[in-house]
Amino acid sequence: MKIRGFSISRYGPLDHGSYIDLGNFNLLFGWNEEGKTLTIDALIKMLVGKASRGFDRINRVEENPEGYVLLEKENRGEIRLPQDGTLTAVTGLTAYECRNIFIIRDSDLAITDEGDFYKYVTDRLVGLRTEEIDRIIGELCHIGHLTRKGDFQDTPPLRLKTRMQQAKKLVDRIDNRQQVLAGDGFAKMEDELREIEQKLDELEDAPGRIEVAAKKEKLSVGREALDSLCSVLETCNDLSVFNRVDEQKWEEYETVIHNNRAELNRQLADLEEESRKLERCCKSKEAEEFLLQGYMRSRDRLEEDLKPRIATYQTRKEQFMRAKSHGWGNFLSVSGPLSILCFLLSAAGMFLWEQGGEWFFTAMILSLAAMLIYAGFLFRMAGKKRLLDGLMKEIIEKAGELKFRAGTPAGIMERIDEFSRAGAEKNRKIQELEKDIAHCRKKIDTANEELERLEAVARDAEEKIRKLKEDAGVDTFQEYQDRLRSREEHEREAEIRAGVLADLFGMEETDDININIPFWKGKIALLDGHLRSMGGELVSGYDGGNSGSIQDERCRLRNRKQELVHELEELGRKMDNLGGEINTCLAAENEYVSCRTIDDLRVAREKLQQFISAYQERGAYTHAAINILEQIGAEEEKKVQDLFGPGSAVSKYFARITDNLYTEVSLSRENGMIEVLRSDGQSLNAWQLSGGTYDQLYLCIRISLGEKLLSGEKGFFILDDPFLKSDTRRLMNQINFLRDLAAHGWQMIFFTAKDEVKTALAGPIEQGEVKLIMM
Amino acid sequence: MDENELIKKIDRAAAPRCTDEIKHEFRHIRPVLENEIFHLFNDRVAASDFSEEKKAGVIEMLIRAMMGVNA
Repeated sequence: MKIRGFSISRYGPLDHGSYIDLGNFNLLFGWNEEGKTLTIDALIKMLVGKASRGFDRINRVEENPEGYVLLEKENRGEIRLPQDGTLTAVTGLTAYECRNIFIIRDSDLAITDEGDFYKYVTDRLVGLRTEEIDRIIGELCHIGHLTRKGDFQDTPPLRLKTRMQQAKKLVDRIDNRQQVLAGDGFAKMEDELREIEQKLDELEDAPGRIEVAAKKEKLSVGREALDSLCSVLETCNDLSVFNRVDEQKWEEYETVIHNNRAELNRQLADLEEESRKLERCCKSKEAEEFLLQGYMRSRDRLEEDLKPRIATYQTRKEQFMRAKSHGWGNFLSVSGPLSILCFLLSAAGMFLWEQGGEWFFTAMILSLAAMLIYAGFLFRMAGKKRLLDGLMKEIIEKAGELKFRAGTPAGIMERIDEFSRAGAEKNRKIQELEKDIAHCRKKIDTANEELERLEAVARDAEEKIRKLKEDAGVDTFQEYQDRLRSREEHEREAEIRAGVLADLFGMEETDDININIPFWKGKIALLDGHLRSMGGELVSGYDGGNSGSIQDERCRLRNRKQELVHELEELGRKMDNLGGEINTCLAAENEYVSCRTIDDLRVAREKLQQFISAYQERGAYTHAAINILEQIGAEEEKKVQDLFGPGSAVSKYFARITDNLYTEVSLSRENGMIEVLRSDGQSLNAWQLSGGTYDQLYLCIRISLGEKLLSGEKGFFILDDPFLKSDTRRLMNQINFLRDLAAHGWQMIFFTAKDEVKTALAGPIEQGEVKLIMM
Repeated sequence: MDENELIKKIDRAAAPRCTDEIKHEFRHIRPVLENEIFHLFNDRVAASDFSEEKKAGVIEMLIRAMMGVNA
């Protein structure tokens, strides 16, 4: 498949006008802004029609180009596009494939969404759709209620995982319940209940026999009840003295005695305490009074002997001090020393100055006289002082005798003051003790009165209890209570018997048992006479001998029936609870089970087991189907790998274009990315390659995939300056590679604005191998 | 596996009610039977050591899933 030529009469500013004929290798050269890109856009629109919208920036010119592309295809001859359809319609190549393989625009060799594209190509090549497999697996998970990991889904409203777990637990519980029911004899109980009901029905179905038996039974029961009633009433009469009022009184008296005893003990303890306190106070008071007497004696001696002496001493001392510090005393204390000084100066002047000796002598005599006067004064004062000292010594000695030892009269006076304060304190203490004694005596009197009162109350209670004992003829309260309980029991028994008799024969208008007894006696006698009038004709099996056993049997059966019904109801409640849980679990399956019997349980278990098995089986089938589909998917993915890898076409092309620097191109299964193996053994991701090598790699991939897609048929490549990043040597390699491809039948439509490309192809252009078309 | 054979296998499947539905909607099954994935799948199931019942069940699940995808 080749493009024979094309003509673009109008496409925006583009107007080639004439038809451009193309060869195997075409170099369309033109400077910038000369319409190379618009020409490529126009070619794309004419080739793929509306599908060109999938190309980026295809609508730089909004309109559709006017012109045509002349396509040459094996077995089809010439096809004129777009008049004869689109490239997709003619060749089966989609716009997606064209965009990613056969048309390289804007120098970009990279493949958009390459991981998906490789898968798409593989699907296209091998005729399978891995995406469809994925969708089917998703649908399988949905209808099988499985997660991708193979577990049951647990999403509402089905919540299958939870319900499956619950169903398994319920099956276990049903098993346990069945064992329990088997152990409890559930079936036996049900059978027994049926039998009992049947027997009771039989008993009820024999009215004639029952009537006679009932009358005999009535008579028998009535007699027994009446005899028993009379006996019980007799006992009640014997015990009539015992009553609740007296019991309560006795109890109250006991309580009073008990409480009084406690109060009495407390009062006695208080009395004892107060007595001890009184004794202590009296002794203290005696001691204080004894001490006070001693104090009084000392005080008397003090008043008589010491205080007058001290007063005399103080008077004399004041006189002495006054004499010393006033009048002559002061004058002499100053003039005395002056007269001595004058005497000494006069004596010195008399010997030193002869001319004034008389004056000095006179002065000396006068000074001497003054000295003598001063000496006389000093002598007199010394005498008074001695007298005072003697008096003070006498006072101290006397005070020592009276235990008021001190060094001075002032100290003695302080001791005397202390003595006086101690005396006052003693008096105060004695007064306080007297008050305490009076208080204690008062409390003791009160306690004694209270004791007497309590003793009187206790005596009264004891007297009353003694009277109750005498009246009742018992010794203890417990005995009284026992008798009273006995009386009450007998009264109850009498009421029961009376109730039986009332049920059997009715009552008079009053409830009084004693009045009704003659009435019941009359009724019994009447019934006895009636039965006797029947001549003793008795029904076999229900005669007087066993009429009681009929009643007993019926009672026994009824009681047993009640027991069984109760037990079965209890079990039924548990079964209902279990049934509720089972129905909740199976609600989504529109199943309902009843859980009343063992058979119901068996059915419920089967339904649960069916539910579990159905989903498990469905899950197992789904799981198996998913596994198979995953295997198929994995094998298809592996086919993608086969497009790459050692020995693949792309590896060979890339090795050739890179002078065997890279020996292998592969596709990573993990991340869907292209990897290359360098000749030194190092593996690199495509994005790790230089820009030029990257472009060369993707050119090889495009060519390789193009070959596969065309199934061996050769096609065309439209290239818009694809090797911009290549160096000169690599550019030559790439161009030679393209030439080689062209030689093998591929068509290259190479648009460029680079002189170096034109230069590189100068030789082939000259030789006619490459067709140069100037834009 | 032709249609009749498939129906027989489905008849033996564990969910006869579903089988009836599938029979009833057989016109929806036809595109499934023509799908290449189904054939690949079917070949693998046939070659497996599954019991006949499981084979029928697995194929039924696939048919139902593919019908769901095509719906």
